[in-house]
Amino acid sequence: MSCPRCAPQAPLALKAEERWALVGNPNTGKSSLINALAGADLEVGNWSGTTLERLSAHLSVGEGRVELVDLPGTYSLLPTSPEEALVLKELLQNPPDRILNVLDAGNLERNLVLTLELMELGLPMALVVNLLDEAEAKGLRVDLEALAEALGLPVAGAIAARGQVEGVLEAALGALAPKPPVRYPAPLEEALAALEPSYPNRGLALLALLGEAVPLPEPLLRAAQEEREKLLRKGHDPYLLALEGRYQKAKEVYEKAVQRHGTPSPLTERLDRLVLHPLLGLPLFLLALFLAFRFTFALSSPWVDLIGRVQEVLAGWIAASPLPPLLRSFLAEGVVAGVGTVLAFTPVLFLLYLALAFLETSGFLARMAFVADRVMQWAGLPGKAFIPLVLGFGCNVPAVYATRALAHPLDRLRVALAIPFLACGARLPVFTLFAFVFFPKNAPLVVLGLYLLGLLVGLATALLLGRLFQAGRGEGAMELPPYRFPPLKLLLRLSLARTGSFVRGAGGPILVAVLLIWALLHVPLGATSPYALLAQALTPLFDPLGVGDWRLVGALIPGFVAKEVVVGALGVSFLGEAGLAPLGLLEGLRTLGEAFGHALAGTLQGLLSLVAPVSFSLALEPTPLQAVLKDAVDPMGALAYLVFVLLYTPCVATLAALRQVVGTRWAASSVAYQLLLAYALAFLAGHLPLKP
Amino acid sequence: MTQKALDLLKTPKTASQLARELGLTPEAARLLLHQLARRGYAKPLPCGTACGTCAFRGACQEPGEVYWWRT
Repeated sequence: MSCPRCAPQAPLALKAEERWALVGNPNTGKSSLINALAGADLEVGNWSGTTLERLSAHLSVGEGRVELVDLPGTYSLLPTSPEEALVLKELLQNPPDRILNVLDAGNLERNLVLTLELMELGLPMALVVNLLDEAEAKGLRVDLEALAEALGLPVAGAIAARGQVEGVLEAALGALAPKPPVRYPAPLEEALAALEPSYPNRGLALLALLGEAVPLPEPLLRAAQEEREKLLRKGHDPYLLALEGRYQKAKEVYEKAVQRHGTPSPLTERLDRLVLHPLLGLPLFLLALFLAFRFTFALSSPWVDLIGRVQEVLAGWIAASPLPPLLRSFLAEGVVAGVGTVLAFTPVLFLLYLALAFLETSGFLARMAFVADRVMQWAGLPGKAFIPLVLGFGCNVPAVYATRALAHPLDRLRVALAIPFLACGARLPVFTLFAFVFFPKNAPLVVLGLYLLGLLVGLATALLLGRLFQAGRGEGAMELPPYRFPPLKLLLRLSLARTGSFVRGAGGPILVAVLLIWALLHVPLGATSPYALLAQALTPLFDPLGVGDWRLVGALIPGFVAKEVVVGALGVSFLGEAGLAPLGLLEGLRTLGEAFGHALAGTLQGLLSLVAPVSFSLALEPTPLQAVLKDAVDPMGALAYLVFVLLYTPCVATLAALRQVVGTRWAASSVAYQLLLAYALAFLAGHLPLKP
Repeated sequence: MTQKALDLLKTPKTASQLARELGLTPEAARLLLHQLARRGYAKPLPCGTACGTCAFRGACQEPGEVYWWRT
């Protein structure tokens, strides 16, 4: 949309390389806009020095190359959260070449408050009014020309989720340095007039006058402080005066640009009466989570199995090769197993990200957070924290990544460090093996007790961290966005980009850990392996727990790679190693073909199982191992061992996820904390006055 | 407008109620409330766990709404 008031200003020439920042309120469809403009090349990373997700994409515009960067959603440049503070910091310290201010057509008045603030920074800017379809459904029509006229900036309309972004690039190329449109009450204008000549722009002068932290030389800050004190002495809080000016102007522009032409659709209101119902809300929320969970695990398991079969075939081919035995073992049980461990997480992560992205972009996640908020209040956590905590019972890795949906870094830290205590699916085989051997009459109770103990310790950790850092309660959700049906393309691209980020970030550390464990197990050191030597050296430490067999202690070492490996390691230690089975080329290809067929059939079965009744079963391990275990430890020692397996250091993939989400220092602290806590609680469990 | 908002908040109001009085949209009023809260001029009035199960909750609060008042 051309802008009559902008005509005297020539548009900026496009440089060979530019960075355009997308700035807007949360839920304005900035990610959809990037997706629609740049296609499949989404890049997911972290903002420098933070663990906040950074979404960007590159596109060619004429002769130039443009990086589109999605800044975190913010309501204002007066920040109330770390995300909002990051936006202000980025705009001031690393100013983009152009700002694309994305506005929600259905919430234009609120969005304009941020627009007016951005305009005071003086950076070249254009507006994109997105979600025009939703505004229409609310009975609102936005006059883009009137908006351009009122603000003096180029404006484009868009429905980015449907790919309707014509005119956005044209508006961006026509971006102009804005003229600040807000006239504040006289006392504030007078103070600004005194400061503006020495300040880079009106926005910075105003922020300094309001007492906000801005990176400016000391004399400028002192001058602002003097003006601020003058105003306060006269009974004027510049903060209230600034709000007055902005909201008045936002109201004025809104009234010029938006016309109501009908009544809003009652669908959102009707659905909300059901979804946010005081009694039905929580069961519906749990049902949605259960479906997301089931979708993830039912559809991912055939592909995880396929990756396992590919690993077996590759290992078989390597075993059949004429290489020296140690090199064969290194390639098959080190490299192939390591890459397989990384890849085995990708189907789970991809599908979980898909389910979460659907819940998030459809508007359900905001409502779930609202419903769970009351439940989580007692732990001092926001409602959104409920989601990763529940996911943690399936697999800790995606649960740790899911904490990224939490806005406050302290909440993210508390929940992320609580998750490794939750008994994931990989720990269940160890629990069932020992519970049925040592507590045959009370096995289900023992397994349930372990799950509850994990949950209790996790929540206690979150509470402890909250007390330690004096976490305050947030003010709840700012808004409940309308229900939307998100485009599948966007969901797929976001899920792919996030899964790719896991492989790049966590893949290396996992591979290194697997190779280290391989070296411990297979590189001979005299007559025995370093694994046996290390296990024997560690065993005296476990004597007080009632676990005196080095083979039990040794199985905890590969358990660091994945907790389910503990059972396999016990089998090898107690019953002997099966060794690598050589495989012919054709036989391997046939196995791969069959495995692929099984994966496709399994996916179909998984889809059908989504609507089938739920069944629960506990799988028992084969008896030879059970028989030998009985002689290795007594029941109380076995209970101590189970508590230790539940609580000790997270698996390497969880650790890699923790490192990405909360940083290396906290991930390392988590390992130490978990080991100490696991030891202490296992000791207590081993000395409980119980009769097995 | 801000002074009027502070006067109105002497008795607790939801964002929608405040919006009607100020001639703003509810979303803009909600942002105004958050910005007033940021400098301690207003605060939300959480109803605690009791509201969650109250059968009459719908009579005093719209879905997703909380009351705010001047501090």
